[in-house]
Amino acid sequence: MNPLVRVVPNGTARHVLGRVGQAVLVLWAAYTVAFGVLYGLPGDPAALIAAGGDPANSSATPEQVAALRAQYGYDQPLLVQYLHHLGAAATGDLGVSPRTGPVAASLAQALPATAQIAALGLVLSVVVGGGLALLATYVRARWARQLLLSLPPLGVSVPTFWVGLLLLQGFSFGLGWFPAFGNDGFSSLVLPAVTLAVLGSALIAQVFARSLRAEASAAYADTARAKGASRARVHLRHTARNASLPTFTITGVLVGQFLAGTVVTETVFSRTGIGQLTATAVGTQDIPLALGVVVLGATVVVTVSLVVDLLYPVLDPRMRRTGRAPRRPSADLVAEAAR
Amino acid sequence: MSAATLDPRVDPVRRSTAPVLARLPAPGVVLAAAWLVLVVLAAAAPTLLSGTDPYAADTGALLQPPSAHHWFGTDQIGRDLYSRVVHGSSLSLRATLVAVAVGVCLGAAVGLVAGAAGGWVDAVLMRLVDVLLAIPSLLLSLAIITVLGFGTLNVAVAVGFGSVAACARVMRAEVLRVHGSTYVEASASLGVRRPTVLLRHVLPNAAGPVLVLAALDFGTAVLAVSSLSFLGYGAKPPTPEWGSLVASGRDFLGSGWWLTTLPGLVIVATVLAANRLARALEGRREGDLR
Amino acid sequence: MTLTTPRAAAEHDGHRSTPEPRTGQDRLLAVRGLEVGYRRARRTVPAVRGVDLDVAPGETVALVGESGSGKSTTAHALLGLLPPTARVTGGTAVLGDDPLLPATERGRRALLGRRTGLVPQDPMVGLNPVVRVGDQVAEVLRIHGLADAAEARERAVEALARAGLDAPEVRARQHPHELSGGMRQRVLIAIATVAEPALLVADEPTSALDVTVQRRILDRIAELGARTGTGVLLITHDLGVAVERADRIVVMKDGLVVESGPARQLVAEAEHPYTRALLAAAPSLTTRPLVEARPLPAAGASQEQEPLLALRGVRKEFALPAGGPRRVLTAVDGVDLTLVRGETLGLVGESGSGKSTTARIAARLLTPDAGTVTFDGEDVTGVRGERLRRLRRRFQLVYQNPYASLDPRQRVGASIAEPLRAFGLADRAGRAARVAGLLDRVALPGEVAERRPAELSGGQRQRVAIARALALQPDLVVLDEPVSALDVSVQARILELLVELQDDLGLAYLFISHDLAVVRQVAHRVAVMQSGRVVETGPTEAVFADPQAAYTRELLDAIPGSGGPAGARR
Repeated sequence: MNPLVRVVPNGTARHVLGRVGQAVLVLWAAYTVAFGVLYGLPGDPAALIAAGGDPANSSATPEQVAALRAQYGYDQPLLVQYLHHLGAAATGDLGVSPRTGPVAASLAQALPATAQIAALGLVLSVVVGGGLALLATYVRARWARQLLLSLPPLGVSVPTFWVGLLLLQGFSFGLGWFPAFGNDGFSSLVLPAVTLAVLGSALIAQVFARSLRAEASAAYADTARAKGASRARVHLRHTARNASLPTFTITGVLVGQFLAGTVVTETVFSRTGIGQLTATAVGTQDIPLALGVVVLGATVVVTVSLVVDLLYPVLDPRMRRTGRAPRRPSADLVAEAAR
Repeated sequence: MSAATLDPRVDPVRRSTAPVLARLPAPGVVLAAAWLVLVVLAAAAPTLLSGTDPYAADTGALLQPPSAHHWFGTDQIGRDLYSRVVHGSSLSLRATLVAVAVGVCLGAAVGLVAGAAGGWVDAVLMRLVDVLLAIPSLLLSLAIITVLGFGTLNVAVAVGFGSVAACARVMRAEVLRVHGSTYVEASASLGVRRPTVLLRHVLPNAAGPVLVLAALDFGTAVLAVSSLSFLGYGAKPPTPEWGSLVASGRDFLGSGWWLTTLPGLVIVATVLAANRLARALEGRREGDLR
Repeated sequence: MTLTTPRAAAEHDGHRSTPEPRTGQDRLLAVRGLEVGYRRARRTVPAVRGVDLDVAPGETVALVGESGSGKSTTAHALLGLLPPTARVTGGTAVLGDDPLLPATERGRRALLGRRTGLVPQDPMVGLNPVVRVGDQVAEVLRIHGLADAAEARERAVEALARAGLDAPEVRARQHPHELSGGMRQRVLIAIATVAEPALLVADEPTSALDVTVQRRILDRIAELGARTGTGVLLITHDLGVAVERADRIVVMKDGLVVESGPARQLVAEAEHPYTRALLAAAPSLTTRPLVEARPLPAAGASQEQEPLLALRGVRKEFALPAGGPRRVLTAVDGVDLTLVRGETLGLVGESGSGKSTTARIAARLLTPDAGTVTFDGEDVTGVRGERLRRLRRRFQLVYQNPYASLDPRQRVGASIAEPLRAFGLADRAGRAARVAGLLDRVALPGEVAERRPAELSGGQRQRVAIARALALQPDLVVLDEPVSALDVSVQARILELLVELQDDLGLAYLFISHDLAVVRQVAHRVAVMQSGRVVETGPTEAVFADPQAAYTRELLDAIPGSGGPAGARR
C-alpha cells in the first residue's frame, strides 16, 4: 500500500449501520415526497370521499363534507397532518382508507399474491434474460448473433398490457393451457409472471449483454485466451463473472418495476393483489391507500437496493476490506432500468 | 535526420475519406423515420389517411375481421378500427409529446443546475433525484393521477414527472463529463471567462446527449401513456386513444383478436421506430466526434 | 549525419532484410508472408502485409515499430488474439513442428499457454479482477491437464516465486487489486511461464510501468528465458529497449518489415532511412542535448537574477474518494522550485511523485494548502477571480494529451483564437491574421485553421495546443508531459519546435516528464521528485553525470540503454 495514504480505520459493522441509516433516510424522504404529491397538490379529498370516488355524481351536503374533513383531519394545516401521518407510519400505521379500512392491513393481505407473480417473474427474467445475453454474445454466426441481440430492444418496446392480452389470447382462449383469470394455484401464476418477465428479461439481457461485450474485449480475457482456454471457458469463467456485477446492481430497480407493473398485469389477468389495490386507489381517488401503495413500492426498492449493496463485496473482491461504497451503476444504466 | 522528410508540413491532413454511401442512414433508420412521419401525419390530419368516421357504427358489420374494406376489422358496434386508430393517434401523440417535454425539460434543468453549480446545490438536488428514483416511476405517475383526476393531459403530466429523475441523472452526468474534460480546464487556464466557457464548450457538448435522451424518452413515454390509458385513466370513451382501444378489445379476446392485436402493433411499431432513431442519433454523434 | 560507416558497408552483404532460411533444431518460430487485414465498412484495410519472422530457441527477437506499424497485430495474429474485425488473410507460421497458422482452433489452443506464453501490455487490466492470482496462474496447468488441482496450486506458487514476487504463498491468495502494477506484471509473467513454454511473447511488457520497475521486469523475463532456453519475441516501440535486450531486431513500418538484423549491427549500420530516423529519435539513445548547456551558474546565480516563478514550501493534500475510511493523500509535500526567464526546468518523477500536481499549482489551476507561489516578484498564491484571469496571460499550460485538450466541436482556428477573444485583443480580421501567424510559427499549414481536431494527427494537435498557448505571448509555459502521448519520431519534432520557440521568444518552460532522456534533451536544470518531495535539483549535465540522491541514480540506471547505444548487455 502506498505509504502516502493514511488509513483511518473503519469497521464493517459501521459500514453496514451507515448504509442502513442511509436507507431509512431515503425511505423517509420518499414518504415525504409521496405525501407532498398526494396531500399537497390541489384537490378536496373530503369531497372525493363523500362522492364515493365520482365527484360528478356527488350528492353530499357541504355539512357532510365538513364532517368528513374533520373526521380525517383534512381541516388541519398540511404540516400538522404530515407530522401526524409520519408518526403513525413510523409505527406501521399507514392510515385508514374510507373504503377499504386500515391501509396496512389491506396491503398485508394483498402482498402475498403479488409477491408470488413478482418472484416467479424475477426468476424467469434472470434465467431467460441472462441465458439470452450469454448465448447472444457466444454464438459466432453473425445472423444468429444479430437475431438474438435484437430481441431485448424488442422486449422493452412492447407494452406489458398487450403482451398479457396476447398470452391470454394464445394460451387461455386458444390452447386452453392456463386459466384466463383468478388466483387459483400455480397455473394461474404462469401467464402473469411470463408477462412481467418479458420486460424484465429484456432489461436484464440488455444490460448484461452490453457488459459482456465490453468485458470480452478486456485485456484479462486475452490473458485467459493466451492460456489456451476454450471460448466457453473464457466466456463463463472470466467475462460472465465480471459482466454480472453491473447487472446485479439494477435488481433493486427491476423489483420496483415489477411491483408497479403488477397494476397492469393484475388488471389484465383479473387477479387480486397490490396492483389491483393500486388500480382501486387511483380509480376511487383513495388518497390514504395510494400513499400506502407508493410507500410500499419505495420500501421494496430501498430494501432490495440495500441488500444488493451489502452483498456486493461478496461478488466483487475489490469492494472488500476497503469498505468503500459499491461501484454504482452508471447513471444511464439506472436511467435505462428505471424506465 | 533529414529535415525535409520529417517536415510536418508534408503530413497529410486527414480528411473524412468515408464514401458518401456510408454517410447515408441505414435502411432500418429510413423505415423508422418513415413510420414516425406517418404517425405524425395521422395525428395532424387524420382525414388524409382515413376517410371513415371513427364514431360511425355500421350495424351491418359487427366484429368483422380485417378485410380490404375494413383494414383493421370492425368492433362490436361496427366502428372501423383502422379509422379509430388513425384518429386516436392525435391524442396519444400529443400526450406523449407533453410527457417528454415535461420530463426532459425539468430533468435537464435539474441536471444542468446540479452539474454546473456543484457543491451543496448538487448534493441536495441529487439526493432528491435518488429519492424519486426509489419510487417506481409508474407508481409516481399513478399517485399524481390520483390527485389530479383522469384525463389525457393529466396522464401526460404524470408520465412526464415520472421520468424527471432519470433525465436529471443523465443530464448531470453529461454536464460533469464535459465539465471535467481537459479542454474545458484548458479553456479556463487560457483566461477565458467562466460564462463563456459554459456557453461555448459545456452546453454544445452536453446538448447532443439530451437530444438523444429526448428521443429515447419518447418511446418510453408512448408506452407509459398507453399503459395508463389502457387502465382507463385517459380520455373518456368513446374518444379513441391507442391504449384505451386495446382495453376495449379485452372482452373479445376469443372472438375478435384484431381488436387488441392491431392497435397494440401500432404502439409497438411507434416505440421501436423512436428507439431506432434515438440509437442512430447517438451513433451519428459519436461518429462525428471520433 | 549518418550512422553507416565504411567498415559496415564493406562487411554488409545485403541479405539482411530477407530472412535467412533456418532449418533443423535452431528453428523455434518461423513466420512466412503473414498478412492481416481489418474489416472497415465492407473493405479490408491491410495492417500486416507479408511479414517474415524467425525466433530460435533461447534467442530474443525484438519487433520494433511505432503505433500502427503492425507489430502488435503480428503478435496477436500468432496467438489467435485478433479482435473480431481483424482476419489473417495469408501466410503461415509454425512453432517447432506444430502449425500455428493456419491451424484449427483446437490445435492452436493446445499450444497456447503450454508451448507459448504471453506477457501483455498493461498489467493493471491484464488480470481477472474477481479471481485470486494463484488460481489464475494455476488455471494454465488445469486447462492443459498438466497437473491436478493441488499440484497446480503448488506449482503456481513456485512460478510466482520465480517471477520475483516475495511471499508468493500470501500473494497467491490475494486478488489483483491488492497488488501494485509491478507485482501484477510479475503475476502475468508467472502465468506466461508456469508451463515452461518454448516461446514467450512479450507485448510492450513494461510501457505501462515506471522506469525503475521496467528494468527489473525486463531482467526477469530475460532470466526466465535463459533458464529454460525459451525463445522470446519482444514487441516494443522503444528501440533503446530493443537494442539493450534483443539478439536480433526486426523493424516494422506500415505493416512491412523494413529492416532486420543482429541488434548491434543494426544500430551501427542501419540502412533504411526509417530505421535511422527511429535511431535518431529514440530519446534513450540520444545523448545530444537540444539546448546549449547554460554557463554553469556561479554560486547563487539564480538569486542574483529575479526568478520568474518561485514555489516556496508548497504543499497539497487530496481527500481520497469518500464512502469508507477517510484517507488523505499528500501529493506535494514542501516543494521549493525557482525558474528564471528563458530557462527550462525539467521536473522529473515517476507516476504518483506529485510532479503533475506541482505543475498545476505552478499554473495556478490548483491552490496549495501551504506555501507560496510567486510570479515575477508578485505573490500569486491566493489570487483569484478577475485578477487571476488577467495573470493567465502571462503563464500558459500545454497538456499531455492533445486529443483531450481541444474541444472536439471547435475548429482549430477558433481554438487558437479563443484566448485572444477572451482578452479582447484583436478584431475578427486581426485574430485571423494572428492565428495564421501562430500556425506558421508551429510549422502547420494555414488551412489547418478550418479543420476540427479529429482530422489532425496527434503531433499536429499538440502543435495546435502549443500555438494556442503562445497566442497571448506568455513569459512562462508549463508543459505537462507534452510528448509522452506521441510516437518517438513525432516526439523529436515537437521537442525541436519547443527549443526553437524558446530561443526565438525567450520563453521559460516548466517541463514535466517521467522520461529522463527527454528531459536531458531540453532542460537546462532538472529537479527530481519522489513521493511529493524534490530529492535533487541542479544543472542537467551535473545531475546526469554525478547524481547525488540514491533515487536519481536508480532512475538513471533504469533508462534502457543507459550504457550507451550499443553498450554491453548485462
